[in-house]
Amino acid sequence: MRSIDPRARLIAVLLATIAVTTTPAGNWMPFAAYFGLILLSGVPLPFLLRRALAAAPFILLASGMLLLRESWTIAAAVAVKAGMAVALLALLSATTTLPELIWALRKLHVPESFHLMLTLMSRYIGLLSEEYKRLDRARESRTARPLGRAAYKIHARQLGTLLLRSWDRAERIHTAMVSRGFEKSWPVRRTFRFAVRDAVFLLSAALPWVAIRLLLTS
Amino acid sequence: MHIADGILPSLWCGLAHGVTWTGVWAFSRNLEPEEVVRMGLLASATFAISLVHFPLGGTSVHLGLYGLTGILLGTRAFPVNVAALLLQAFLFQHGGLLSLGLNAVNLGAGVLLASAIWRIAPGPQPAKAFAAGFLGIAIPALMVATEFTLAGYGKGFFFMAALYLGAAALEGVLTAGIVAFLQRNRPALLRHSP
Repeated sequence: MRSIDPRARLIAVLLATIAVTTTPAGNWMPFAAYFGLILLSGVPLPFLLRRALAAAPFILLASGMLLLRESWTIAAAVAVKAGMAVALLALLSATTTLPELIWALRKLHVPESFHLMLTLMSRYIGLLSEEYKRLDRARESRTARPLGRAAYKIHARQLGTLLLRSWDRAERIHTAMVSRGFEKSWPVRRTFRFAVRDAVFLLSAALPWVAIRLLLTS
Repeated sequence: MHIADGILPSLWCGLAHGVTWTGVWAFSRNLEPEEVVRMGLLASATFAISLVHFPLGGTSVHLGLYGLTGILLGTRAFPVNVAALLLQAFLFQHGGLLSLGLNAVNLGAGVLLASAIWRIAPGPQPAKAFAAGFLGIAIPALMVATEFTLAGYGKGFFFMAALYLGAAALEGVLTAGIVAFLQRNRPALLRHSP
């Protein structure tokens, strides 16, 4: 799986998600078949369930509101569809690294600046999270826990400090990038070429979903 | 308030994707690399902040800082938001691939309105900053509620949106606080982009 072109993986998951979400409610056969396909993927079911559970509050809320107005079947179908879509997304995220996804998006022609922004985010979200924790520790070691109005002020200043620091860091990063020869785009170390085996993968991974959608639901 | 896949009509999701990527393309034209790096870092900072749950007034909240992003980046905040939503969907499965467009349109509307208020509306800065922070949450919440009502889920989501007004007020207060802090320490930041 790791050696399959990430574009093929992304598109396969996209097609499968479209197949699942457009399946009309009422007939449970196609959903059973989709579930079989998810099991076939070989990703451990507990992992997928855990990820699906994280989205459960929102899904159950929507499904519950539907239950008040529509039939039991329709409400349950929405919950199943949404749960499966989350599982499919978890499948993609478990088999694809963030750099691979960003590479795939670039190859699918998202604007170059958007690609650069995603690359920077993949690098700096973790770093700035750490920086925020450092600010937290520094504040806690020097002050009493703020209460009431003071709490808002102190938190606002702390957030402002993080923004200022990232602003300044951006200047430094840009200077460093330019000094290393950066002009408009970003060099990529690992590349994929969309080969026959990727096409075979895409077909074999997406076709069953589309087939179930078209054949079993009519 | 990220809509998951499979809940709202697929046609809407498709249309919203069209709007979203057109927006990304339109709002990220003519960008200097230097500006992109700044956007990337601010996006990382707000993303990092949105991961923090911190206690305020007895409960635990987490911020979106959509209004603040609009204040600092103007229309450039739209692609920043799309990037953040994409990463949230991929990393934590918050939202979904198909509903990404809808989520981006909902949040984008709040962000663009916040940016317009900051740049165009008359009035004292703290009030504008509060309004930007407040609407950055309230507008998306209202849009989500409207979409669910139109999709046949009943009006229940308006009740949820009402609950979000508290979070929106909190975000407004913090946005005003952050803007005041930046105004004192680095006013140039607040006068920057279009």
